[in-house]
Amino acid sequence: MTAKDIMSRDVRTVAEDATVAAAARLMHDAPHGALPVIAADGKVVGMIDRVTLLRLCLPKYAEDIGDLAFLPPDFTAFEARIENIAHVPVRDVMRPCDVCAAEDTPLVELAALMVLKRVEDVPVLRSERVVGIVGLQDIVDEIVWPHLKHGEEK
Amino acid sequence: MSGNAQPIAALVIFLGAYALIITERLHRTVVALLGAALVLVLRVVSQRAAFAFVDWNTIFLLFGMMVIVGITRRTGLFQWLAIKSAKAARAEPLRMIVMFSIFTAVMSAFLDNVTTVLLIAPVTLVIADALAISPVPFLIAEILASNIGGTATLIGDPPNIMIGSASGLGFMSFVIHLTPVIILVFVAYLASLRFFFGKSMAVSEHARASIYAFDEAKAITDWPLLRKSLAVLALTLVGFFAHEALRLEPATIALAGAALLLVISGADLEQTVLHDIEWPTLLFFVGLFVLVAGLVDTGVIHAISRPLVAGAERSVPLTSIALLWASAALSAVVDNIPFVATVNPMLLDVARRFAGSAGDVRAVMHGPQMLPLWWSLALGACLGGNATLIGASANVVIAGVAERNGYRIAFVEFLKYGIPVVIESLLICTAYIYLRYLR
Repeated sequence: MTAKDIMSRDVRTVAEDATVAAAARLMHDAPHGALPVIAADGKVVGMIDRVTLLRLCLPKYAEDIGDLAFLPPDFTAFEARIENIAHVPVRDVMRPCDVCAAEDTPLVELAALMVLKRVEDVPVLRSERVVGIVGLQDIVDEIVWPHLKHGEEK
Repeated sequence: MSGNAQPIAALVIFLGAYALIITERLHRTVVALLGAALVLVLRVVSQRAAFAFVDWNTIFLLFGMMVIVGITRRTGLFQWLAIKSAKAARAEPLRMIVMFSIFTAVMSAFLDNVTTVLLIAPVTLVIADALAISPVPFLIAEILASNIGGTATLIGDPPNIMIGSASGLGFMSFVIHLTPVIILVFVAYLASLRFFFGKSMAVSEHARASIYAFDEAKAITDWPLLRKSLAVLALTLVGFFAHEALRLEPATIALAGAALLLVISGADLEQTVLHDIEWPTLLFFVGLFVLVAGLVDTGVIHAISRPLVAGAERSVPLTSIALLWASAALSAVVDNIPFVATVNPMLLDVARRFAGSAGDVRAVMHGPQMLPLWWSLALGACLGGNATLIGASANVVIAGVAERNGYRIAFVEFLKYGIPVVIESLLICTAYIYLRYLR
């Protein structure tokens, strides 16, 4: 099986000069948690996902401290940041599209990519344009679960 | 390579490497390794001689402490200490700057300066955010405090470690000779804090209350590991104080502590290897020592040290004071580690001259003629790093952390604090060296 057999062709994308708020709104309704970022000429220039959104809400040093358990439950100092990021253009915060697949990429390779690179959604590209997207959930639903279910019934 | 070409090659390679490091076009470790490779390939010095010259005491001391601190850090101990300090200061900004400075200085005396500031910076930033004030005054104070504190002991700063190796001066010698003056320098520095940051920092009662709401007990993520780490830290410290009596070198103590902690903590070795041991730093030292080996072995150092030897013969007091201020001035603008790596062999030349042709260099090394020179070098090279934002690694690293979090510490702004602090430090050191050693 290849990516083409399992990918979802209904891909939500976001323009590179759209705002983070717009991207969040698109992600809110989308079946997949990552949006390919598209330039004016239609080519994919990056990806923006939910982890990126979350990272934007936290100050950089929060990642350095690691364990923030000592903060009081009513700590609101970080919330001001969330409003500030609404107008940031997606192009400034997207990550490069370094994990992507072609339509004939074998599913095994996709699964390995997701595990190794820790991404949950892999865009499927043809000539640098998005034609589909494969999510972690898709692979689990279509491949992993049916086999496990079969094993359970035996 | 012919005999005449070797010294020139050694010098050219060294200066070229230095220039590349200063311009930051390549990572300094890459430069050092490249330079070392050139020195060896061109047979400026034999590999055997070069590797014999590498100061493994410095490298393993750094390595051992990196392991111990790296494992201890995972317990959240440093977050706990920082929050406790903030609360002890009643969350008042000026008091907190003083508390954090003391905390940073004391830690820097025993841990690497860069590690110390990296441990305290994130919590400083959280606290500043909670109080809705700029963290920049805190970060500047922490930079200055770390460089001062690091000068106090043999293990506090790499230049001191290297000087200890070259001179054979032990941990207790540094405590007896440098700790007193550093305490004076630090007290003067604390007084300056009031002058620098006294006014302006007003914080609301509500904001201060939020700091009290921080629960430092939750900062500790692993109590058993904490107990083990503290035990090993304490043991290692005792080991450092006693190392001369035990007839062990500092690196041995550090290595023993690291090995012990690795065993009893069951720490994941891969984690430690990947995240705690700063391989680029260690390899930088290896490369650097090979480069300096080239300079020493080919006689370049001997040629350059002639003025220093002549000056020391003529007047130890004048040469010491000159060495103090010159080391500080140079340390302010260039990395003090290569600087000290090159001056150490020069001071060895001075010692050999004092010992005379048949004399015992070891007897002279810790004698009244050499001590002021060693201490002047240590004080100048370490304290000089406070003058500019690029003067020491801790400065550069914190500037980077600040920048990544959206706060820019301007080079010129830092000078306003750094230069006065260095001048005040050096004046105290000059008086101390003169009064204690030169009268």
